[in-house]
Amino acid sequence: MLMKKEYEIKLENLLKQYIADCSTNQEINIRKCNLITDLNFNSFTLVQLIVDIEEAFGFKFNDSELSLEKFTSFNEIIDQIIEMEKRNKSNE
Amino acid sequence: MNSVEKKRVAIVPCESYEKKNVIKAVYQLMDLLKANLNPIECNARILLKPNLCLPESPHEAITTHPMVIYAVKEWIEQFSSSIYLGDGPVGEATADRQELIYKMTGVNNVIKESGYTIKKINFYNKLVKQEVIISNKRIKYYLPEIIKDFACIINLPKFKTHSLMTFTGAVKNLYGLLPGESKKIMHSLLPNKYDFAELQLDICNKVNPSINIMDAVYGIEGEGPGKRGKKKYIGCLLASTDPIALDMVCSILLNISNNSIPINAIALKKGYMVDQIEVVGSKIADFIMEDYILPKTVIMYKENDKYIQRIFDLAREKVKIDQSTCKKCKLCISVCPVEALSFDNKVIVKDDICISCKTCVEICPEGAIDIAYSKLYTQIREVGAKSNE
Repeated sequence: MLMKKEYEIKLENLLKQYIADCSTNQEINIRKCNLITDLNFNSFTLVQLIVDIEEAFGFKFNDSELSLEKFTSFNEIIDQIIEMEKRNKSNE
Repeated sequence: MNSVEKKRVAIVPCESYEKKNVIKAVYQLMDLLKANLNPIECNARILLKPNLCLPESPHEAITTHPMVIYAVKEWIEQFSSSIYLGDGPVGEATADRQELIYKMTGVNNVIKESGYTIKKINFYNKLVKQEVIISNKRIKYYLPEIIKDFACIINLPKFKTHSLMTFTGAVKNLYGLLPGESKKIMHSLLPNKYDFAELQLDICNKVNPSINIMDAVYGIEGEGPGKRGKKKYIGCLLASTDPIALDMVCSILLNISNNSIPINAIALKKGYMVDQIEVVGSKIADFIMEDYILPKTVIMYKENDKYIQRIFDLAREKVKIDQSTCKKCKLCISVCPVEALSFDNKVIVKDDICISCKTCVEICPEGAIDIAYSKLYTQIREVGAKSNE
């Protein structure tokens, strides 16, 4: 299992690709921004992000546990990833 | 190979849905197909399968025009008065919705005008399980058992573009036979459009319609096959005993290659021989449309297959049992057409088998069964709606 810092770096790199696609010229702090209000994520981008996280971290979120609140900020996403990793670890 | 052995596709002009025009065109088509037609036995049971996917007026050109149904009925009556009609709509297949579709699409008017010679049938009282292996996945789906009771199935597709499949014609129209929400589930099981095309061809092979008559007086271009598409005048009817041949000729009208239409591309890959097709009737060049608008999403899907698959997963409604309200009467288990419910001290749902037909929801005397989308799917739909405002 990776350290929290390693998860953060991995997620940050992943989110940077989304910012590259984003048309805004403002300086964006990935760790503090809101994906929907600051980065203009739409419904399709959110699903893209979920799928990309699953691919990058090698697990699949349970559909019934997914909700928007858990994917609007960097810290919320990190919490989800760590929770999934813990669960996978305990199932091994 | 002589011309008699070839798979004929007949094309004739039909300028409008005026009754005399359509009847004349249907008789011309059947005359041109004589060499390929199997004789229809006297008073054989005949099923008409139009495209009645949505409760829309015939003027929208989304559904098979009722006058085409009427004209085909006129032709059939030479042989039989045992004529039935049915289709499975997109979305819920409840009796109320089905009836609304018959009313909105003008089918009820045609039935009345025919003196009730055409009888409506409910496909979904009993289903028969089908299986096919696609890309190493065993795919199970269900077809109405009743279709076996018909000596002749006449497929009546509508000429339309399709956001996922580029074009929806004779082969794709038979997908309408799958019950209610299971259509959506198949999309989620087979998000790759070429895999999905294989399923269409399997359904077509199993249903095996005797005659296919395409309503192409008006069709849909752009973001079809529903309301997002645009009505387009084409001005003809086409027919064939072979639904694949008919769809391949439609690709000529659309001025695109067969490889641009996944169903046609897979048929070719499986060895379908284009040179077996013979076009008869009018000159096909007269109906080729160089300006036909194809769906933008045809390209978008290609680039985003894995994301689309996840959206389809999320978009599946799931049955939820409120165990505290459930009285364990097992009525739901007895009515489930696909045996997705079982009992082990409590009612258990197998999500991968459930076709979301809602029969269990309707029958439960305690109201203990509900069907709902996942929370995220509901939320992202709201985000999508806001961003479209």
